[in-house]
Formats: sequence, C-alpha cells, structure tokens
Amino acid sequence: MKRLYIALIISSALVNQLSAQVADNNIDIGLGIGGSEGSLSTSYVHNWQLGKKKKWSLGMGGRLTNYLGKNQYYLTAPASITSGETGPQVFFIENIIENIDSVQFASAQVNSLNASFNVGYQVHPKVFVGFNIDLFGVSFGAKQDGRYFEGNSGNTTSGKPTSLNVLLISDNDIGSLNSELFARYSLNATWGIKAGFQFLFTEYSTDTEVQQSPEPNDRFRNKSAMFTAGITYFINKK
Amino acid sequence: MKAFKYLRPLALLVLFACGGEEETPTEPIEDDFNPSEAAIVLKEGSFVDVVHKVSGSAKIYSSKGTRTLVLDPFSTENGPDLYVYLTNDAKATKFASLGKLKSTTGKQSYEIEEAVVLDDFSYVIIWCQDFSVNFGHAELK
Repeated sequence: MKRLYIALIISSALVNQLSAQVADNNIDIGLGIGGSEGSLSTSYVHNWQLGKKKKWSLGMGGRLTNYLGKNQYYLTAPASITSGETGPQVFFIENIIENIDSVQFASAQVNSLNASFNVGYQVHPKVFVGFNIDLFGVSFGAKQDGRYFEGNSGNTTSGKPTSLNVLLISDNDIGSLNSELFARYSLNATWGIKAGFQFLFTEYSTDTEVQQSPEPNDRFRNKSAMFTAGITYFINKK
Repeated sequence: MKAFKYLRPLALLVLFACGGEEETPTEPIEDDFNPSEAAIVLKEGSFVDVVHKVSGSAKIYSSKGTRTLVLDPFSTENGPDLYVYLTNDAKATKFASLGKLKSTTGKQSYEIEEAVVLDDFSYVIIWCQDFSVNFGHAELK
C-alpha cells in the first residue's frame, strides 16, 4: 500500500511538471510539392519546453500524410538486398546497385497515419525552427497497377501500400514515414506559417514477390524530397 | 484566417519549382544501319495506331550474332518519355526495353541485348513510359 501511495505521488508530480511545461500544442497543415508529386500533412503536435530559458521544445504527436505521385519509381526496399546486410551499419554502406530493381506506378497514392517525434528551438520570440519524424504507424491506399523493371526487362504487376510503418535506420525502415525540417513564424497568438523541407518515404508491397534475385522481394520504396509550406494553429494560445 | 494570405504566395513559389516533361526529338533522322548480304530477317511487321498515330514497318535483322531492330520507314505522334519495347502482347505484360525512341520520324535502329529471348516477344510497341500507354505497335511475324 505504501509503494502504491509513493507511485501515485511520483506520477502525480510528473503529470503536474509536464502540464506546467506545456509550451506548444498545435495543429499543423502542410503542403509538400516536388516534381510530379505532392503531399498533404495534417499533424497534431504536443511539445514541452526544456532548458533554463525554455527555448528548446521536445514532444510527440500524430500525423496523417496523404501522398500523390505521378509516374513514380519505387526501388527495392529491404536493407538485406540494397546493402547486403541489416543493422544500423547499413547507414554507412553504399547501395549495391545491381541488386536494386524498380516498380513504376503511374498513379501512386499512399496514406499514412503515424506517431511522430518533434524537436525544436525558439530562435526568436516569433521564429521557431524544428524537426519532426514519424516513428511508427499504419498505411493504407488502393491497389495500383505497376510495371516491374529488372534492368531493361520487366512485366506488369500490382501492389498496395505496405500496411505497417516502423522507423528503424536507413533502409531498415519499414513502410511509409514522413519527416520535416522547418522554420515557423508566428503571425499572432493563434496562427503561424511555416516553410521547410520534407523527406517522405512511401512504400508499396507487390502482390507477388516480383523480384527474385538476389532474394525474393515484394517491398519497394520511393524517397521524396519536397519543399513544404503550411499553416499552424496554436491550440494553447500564448 | 489571415494566415491563408501568406500561404498562397508560398504555394505559387513551390509550383514554379516543378519540372516539365521530356519530349522525344522530332528532327527526322536517317540511321546508317545497312544489313549485310549475310543478314537475315528474323521477324517483321507493320505499325498500327493504338492510342496515337504510328506508322511504318519494323524488322529484326540477325547478322554475325548481333540482332538489330530497324524501324524504316517510321513516324509517330510525339509524347513524353517514348520508348521502344519488345513485348509479348499489346498490353506489354512482359517487355524488354530497347531504349528511348531516338526520333519521332525517320529510319532508326536498336540493338537487341543477348539476354533477350526473341521467341518470348511478338510485338514492337512505341510505349509512353510516363503514362504507361501503347502509342502504336507492330505485330512481328
């Protein structure tokens, strides 16, 4: 009973501490645009202020990303094929080009809902710079017809967005994951505008293991680097 | 909703950053490929329109172990990202790309890689890779 009492006091203190530190609780809507592709991201962000001057922010959130791409090429995804091995070291290993095949989707459409991690710094009372990255979640979307290429040859295939998303390291990642590096300007206590760069991975799983060499594979990934701009609605108005 | 006033110029800025499509050259070409006396025609056919106007004939020559597809005469409507495919059917369910179409008009030749098993393919297609569209094809016999 004594232990439960102590645990309750500690957890209550933690909740009070975090509640007192809420600095940035907002909703973001961003538009990413690249060559023949685009995305719409809707995020909920819950950050806590850190540091003596409370300029650092750290937090969690959720993000719905809708991606549309025309004539996009999805490349072999698993690290075991692209790098010949798995584990964190693949971040430093060059891709084995001859192992990488592709699937072209004329109309790629991937929707993903992920939990995200956020970090940022208040560089000026009105300017905030930040970075966020999806951690895990799910993806959904319609089945699409595609064309599998192995060198100069290939065949038709079809695929759906890979259901599960998990951030690991480099090509160890699974599924569709979004990240942004941005700067935000607060127009007033309610609204802000932001601009930056978006790095969006989307992934399709083909109906069959169309790639057979060097090992059977049905996962193909597209990496998009896009310019992003959006608006922020501050829920806890300062 | 003052924020939208600022968002619009930003959206226009990123739209201008988008690239355009790559069209096939339209300058007529005259390939210098001339089959030797020993060359034999393995397959041939005439182009018919499918989604766009394509006309001319296609012949696959074999000479000294090298196989070459020759389009002569040849003409097609232009489009983005046009390729020459050998395929098993008109939908290009299985294909071998011989490369980008060199020009929309004129005699042109394409070497066929050794790995390509010719018996697997019975069509030459002018294929728009950007939109996955068969512009026109020649059934090879």
